[in-house]
Amino acid sequence: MSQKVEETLNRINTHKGVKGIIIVNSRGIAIRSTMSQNETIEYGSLITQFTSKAQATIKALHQEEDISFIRIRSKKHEIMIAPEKEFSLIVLQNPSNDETN
Amino acid sequence: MPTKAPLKVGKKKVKLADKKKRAIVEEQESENLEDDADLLNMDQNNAMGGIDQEQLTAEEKEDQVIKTLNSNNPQAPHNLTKFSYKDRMFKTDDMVEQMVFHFQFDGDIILKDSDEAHDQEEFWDNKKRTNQGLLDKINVAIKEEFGKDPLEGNEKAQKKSLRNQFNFQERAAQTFNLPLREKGIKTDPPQCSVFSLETTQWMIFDAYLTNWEEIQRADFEEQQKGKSKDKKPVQQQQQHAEDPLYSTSMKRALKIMERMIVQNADEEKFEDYKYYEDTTEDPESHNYGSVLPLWRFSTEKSRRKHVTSICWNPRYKDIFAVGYGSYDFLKQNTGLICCYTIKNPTWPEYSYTTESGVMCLDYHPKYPALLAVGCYDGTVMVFDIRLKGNNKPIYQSTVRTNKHTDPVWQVRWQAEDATKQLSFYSISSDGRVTSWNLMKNKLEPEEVIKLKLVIDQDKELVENKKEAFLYGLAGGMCFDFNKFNDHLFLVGTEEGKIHLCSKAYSGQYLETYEGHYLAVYAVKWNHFHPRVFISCSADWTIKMWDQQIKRPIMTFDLGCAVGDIEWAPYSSTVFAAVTSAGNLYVYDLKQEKHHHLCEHPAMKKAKALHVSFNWEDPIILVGDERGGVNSFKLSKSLTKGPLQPAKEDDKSTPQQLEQKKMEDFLNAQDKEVY
Repeated sequence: MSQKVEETLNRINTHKGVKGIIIVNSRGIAIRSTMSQNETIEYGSLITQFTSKAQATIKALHQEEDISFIRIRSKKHEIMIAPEKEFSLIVLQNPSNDETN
Repeated sequence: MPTKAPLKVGKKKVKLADKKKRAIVEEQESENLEDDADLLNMDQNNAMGGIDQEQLTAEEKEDQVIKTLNSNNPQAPHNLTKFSYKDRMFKTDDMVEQMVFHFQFDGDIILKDSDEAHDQEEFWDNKKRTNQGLLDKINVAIKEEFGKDPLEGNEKAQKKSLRNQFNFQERAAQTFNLPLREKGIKTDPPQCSVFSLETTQWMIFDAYLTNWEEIQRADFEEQQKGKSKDKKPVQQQQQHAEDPLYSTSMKRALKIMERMIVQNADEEKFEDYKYYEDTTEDPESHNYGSVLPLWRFSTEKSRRKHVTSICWNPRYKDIFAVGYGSYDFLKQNTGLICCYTIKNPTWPEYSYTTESGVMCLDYHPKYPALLAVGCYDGTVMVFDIRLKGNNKPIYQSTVRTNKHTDPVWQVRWQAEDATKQLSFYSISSDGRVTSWNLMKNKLEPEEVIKLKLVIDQDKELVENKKEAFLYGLAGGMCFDFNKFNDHLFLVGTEEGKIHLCSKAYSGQYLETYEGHYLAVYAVKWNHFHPRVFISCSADWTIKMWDQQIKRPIMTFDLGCAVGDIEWAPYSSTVFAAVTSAGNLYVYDLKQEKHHHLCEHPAMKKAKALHVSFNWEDPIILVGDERGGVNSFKLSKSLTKGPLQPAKEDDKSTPQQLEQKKMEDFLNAQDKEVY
């Protein structure tokens, strides 16, 4: 299991336009990151807050609803979040059409 | 104690006045008994021996002393207690040895008349004689050596025997054995104290509750820390957060994430795949349709292997399995099966390795997780792709289950019968078509037909009949079941013949179609018309046939070997073929009768080996000899169909319309031929 996970993580990291991968636990603390420490802490804590807020919103709209995936397309790049119970997987990627960023 | 009572009785008989005497007697007795022990304690013994004997009066000396012997040993311990390992407790041993030896001596005197004495005498005589003989011999030898006895005349020397290797004495001395001594010490037992407490369920409950509250409080504090952006926990967390990192949910999240990233990175192609509709036509080069290249599916492991089969999953339109092996007889290697999904073209979803090269595979139409596989060494296997991380097939044919002896060229699942038994067919160049039933724990083979060689019937003479035996069996290359009568199936052979067979009449051909001159690589029934089928061969041609006509209706020559051919699932008149030059051809007989609608150099400098239509999307896959599978999107003009009823009151189904379309084409063709 661990070998497969590592393998996939490596593959993701080498895909086109991927800027970094952060895995944070449920408290917003990074347990794995390919980015610098400052960036990791910044993204980790802010995105966790964002995710929990989004989850609360969805829960408020419908009791049994839950978020499975979030994509944020910003001017600079795309942030993809896969929130799970114990952790959140965050990946930053440059969209393919403008690689100058 | 049973030993005590008789002991007392014995003692009472001794007169009281002799108490002291008795004591001495007893002392001496014990001395004898403990002779060995006393040797060790000489000092003590001396002290004992020093006791002066009591002076007795004459009267006392005259007194009679009665001693009684009884069978009890006064020295025997009466409460010997030993630990019994069998019962795990200390037990008193009642069976005490009562025998006492006061004096023991093994005699060495034997009767002169006894046998033993005779034996001994004889032994001594013997010994004497041999010794004497030996000595005489030595003397003779000495005399021979020196002419005469050197000691002659010297009586003294003669008497004294010299020590030599024949005559010498051994001397030994015995030394004292060191007495054994044992030393022991007794310590105070460790102090122990007893404390006890009475408890109730409530007390236990309260204890747990306080503990739980403490954990809650600790958690809360840690959360507070996390909010205030503590920098240290990054390392602290690493240890007990290892579990979520390698959990199943992490694997799932990563899978989705990877697909997202690939789709982001390759956005244009995915948009083409989904939305782009090519309508361009190029009538000048006879290309009325076109194909748009999308992805190339390939991995490091599959490089240098040939793509030997492609099969779309019947339930999920984005999943397909690719079998890798080698068509080169001299360069056989291990096989590989990769299951790709279009959602992630960069990496196979699952992959399995096999000992021998994979030659063919097929997904079960009803159970999309079951994958039947045929190998170059003749093995057939069944994989269950739901069993992740397990590289082993759930079923595998062995020599014992009568596996094929030549490469298996095609496998095909059968529809479930009434007994819900799963089974699949396989064909091999050893000339057998076998049906394999999936039993509870093994594959059960059942021979369907043996492909006998058909000698040209005009030439079949009586004298040739014997020769026919020598030919053996025809090598099967491919087969296909009729879509409408599933007991009918076609078999293409290495000799270029196509046989129509039936599951009901095994052992004979219903019909034999001759037309190809080299091995038939693929034969396929039309999806819409029950009589029409198409075949491709190494002799550069594609031929279309009607089941009732022995000669081909149509022949297309492509200029090089045609590796594979397939009817489009959406139209009765569209089919695709790939050639060893690496080209992909798509035909629509409705639009162009004699010429292909589209020709595309699908592979650069590589043989294209297999082709497969997706059953829903206008996507076609082409596999090559370099381990890659290219995907193409078909343009609008190539994907016309299935026909829909033109008017609303028209009750005919698309199926009927498609069949009619083919029928029309055949009718037109017939007129041309005849």
